[in-house]
Amino acid sequence: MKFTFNTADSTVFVNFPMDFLSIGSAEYAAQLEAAGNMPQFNTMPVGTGAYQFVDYQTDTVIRYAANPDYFNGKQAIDSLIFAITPEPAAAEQGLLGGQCDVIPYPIPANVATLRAAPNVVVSETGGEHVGFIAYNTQQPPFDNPEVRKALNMAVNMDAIIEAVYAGQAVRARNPLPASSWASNPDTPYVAYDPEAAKAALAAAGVTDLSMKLWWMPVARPYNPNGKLMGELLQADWQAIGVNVELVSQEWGAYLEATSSVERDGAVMIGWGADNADPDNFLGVLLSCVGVGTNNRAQWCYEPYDALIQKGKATFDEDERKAIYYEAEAIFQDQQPWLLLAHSNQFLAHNKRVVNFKHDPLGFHRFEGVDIQ
Amino acid sequence: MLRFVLYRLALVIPTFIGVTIVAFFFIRILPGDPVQVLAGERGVSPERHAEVLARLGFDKPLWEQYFTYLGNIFRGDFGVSFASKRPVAQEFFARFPATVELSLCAIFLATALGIPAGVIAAVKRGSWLDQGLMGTALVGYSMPIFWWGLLLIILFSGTLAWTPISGRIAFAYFFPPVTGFMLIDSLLSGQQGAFQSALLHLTLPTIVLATIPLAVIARQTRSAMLEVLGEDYVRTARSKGLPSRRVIAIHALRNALIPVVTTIGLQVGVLLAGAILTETIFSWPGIGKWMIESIEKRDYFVIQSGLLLIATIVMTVNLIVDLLYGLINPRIRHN
Repeated sequence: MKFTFNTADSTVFVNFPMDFLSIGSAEYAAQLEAAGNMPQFNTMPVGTGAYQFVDYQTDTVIRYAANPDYFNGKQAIDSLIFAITPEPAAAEQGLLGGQCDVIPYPIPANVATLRAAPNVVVSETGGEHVGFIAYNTQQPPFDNPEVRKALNMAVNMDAIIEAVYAGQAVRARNPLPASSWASNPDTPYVAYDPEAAKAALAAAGVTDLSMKLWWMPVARPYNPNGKLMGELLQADWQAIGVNVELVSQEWGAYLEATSSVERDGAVMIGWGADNADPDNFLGVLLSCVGVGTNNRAQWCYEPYDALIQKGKATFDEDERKAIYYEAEAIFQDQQPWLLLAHSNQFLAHNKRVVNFKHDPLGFHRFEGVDIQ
Repeated sequence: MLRFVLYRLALVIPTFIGVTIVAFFFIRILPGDPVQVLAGERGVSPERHAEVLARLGFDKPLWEQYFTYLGNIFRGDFGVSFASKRPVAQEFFARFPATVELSLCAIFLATALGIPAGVIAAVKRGSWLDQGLMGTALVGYSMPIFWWGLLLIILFSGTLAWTPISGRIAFAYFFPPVTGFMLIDSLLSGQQGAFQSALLHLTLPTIVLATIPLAVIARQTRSAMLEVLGEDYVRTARSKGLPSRRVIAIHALRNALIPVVTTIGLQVGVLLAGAILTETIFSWPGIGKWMIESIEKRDYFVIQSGLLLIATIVMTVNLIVDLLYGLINPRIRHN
């Protein structure tokens, strides 16, 4: 199969394997289309993977059976069941009681209890996401990088990571997750210095600053408690004389309101990796084309944007790394965001489950998994 | 009686139209739309946003959308869920039996315990039994359902391992749904232990969901009984030397049941639509949770048609309650 593109784009190698671009059976799709039943393509999938779909009971359970014709051999687990359990506390009780074998994303505050259980193994990996506060860089005085830097200096990030993430997070030094090959590990953290922050604001000619801070009404992997985080940031900024009004809306309305170029105030948000390419963060969230949509800082900075476009058109990984390091340096200089953290991801399973690997992109892969 | 029935049926029509208006416009008052919510943090380009909205017909004037929706309803077309791409009716009826089964078990438990508790409390008015029963009812009524449910899970499912955590039946049992009611389907499956498993899975959710209606029914029954026990005809019955049990059960309770039946009918309606928290805690695949998720997703067709279907069922239940009223109290049907 040959693909011909009209631009040089190195990100296709990671975008094409994404789940929504999976290659499906054309014959099956044609059958369903003729029957006017295309939704079944999703709910009764046909494929060639390690497990075959058996049954789906709405909102309850998805059943799979080992595919006897899988090219890599029939799996050791004959029957694989996904029990849909929206309440994390109930899922944790199920694991502790032996009613299930694997649970993803336990509540961080309960990880210690799970670790103490004799029959449970908890695995931990750095989160492939980032939480941040995006200033509206098209709204004075936040169009001045010195003002943004001053605000960032006033924030006690160690206290936030302890209080909001229960210590289960890595402070972000770049927009990219720390595990990314393009994340410069030498990028310095912004030092916490409230006095210097006050002086920097004064030097920028800003006095009696009032601002809005949008706090997230939902818990997300990159931010488990938006309200608490908002309150801590409000306290830090008020300590340097900035009056902060906390605002929020229901999540759907929040997303709409905060992506607007006319948005008043800074917004709390985050991003989870779709794939391992640095452009998925540095380009999608911070390039000029994203203003008004994913680029919630409304930040369009030509030197940065040029590097992002160059990185996308470059295929050599070492060259791309150098380009993205340079872009991160510009980001550090301009600080359109207050970088927060990459929260750790947890997964817990019964000790009898062997070979189960924690997927960084959040998939649950059972190929090669066995029960002792 | 026929005139009474026809009169009640006639009232359904304006109520139905009112529900369609509320169901349609309520969700459109909320900011955001299904395309934006589905995109989430990923966002969507303005062009793609407009294209999808136009494909769904959401770019047309509201009045035009409303009459299209109304016309479709009368043709039996309840729309397609934006999230799942499946017909709303199919989604609703896949989940509805789970809610009905849970709600019926809950109201049965609430009635079976609530009415006797209320009668005992009224008969033993002022005693420690009365205080105890009504105090327990008050606690039940005041208890946060989420906390109560999780507490029961931790105790009975976690610590004691007497009951399952979630779901409608153990995963070991796998059979195609026939009626959608797990108690019935498990019996029909013929698989050994399936019925017991279904019953066990129903236990905790039923207790949790029945807690508030039980409290309401108990207190309502007590109030109604106290009123009736003070009536002249009850005093007459006692002075005729009738056994106390007969006076209470036949003469007093029957009349006291009139407001209680109304309360039970209203509770059924509340349960059918509002078992959201219970369904969430116990991963019970019912319509309550589905509706809440649809509001969060701005799944317009689900909310419009789901609300309408629920309202239709509630209206039907209330109609049955009103007809029962007429049966219990001849004065109502002859008026």
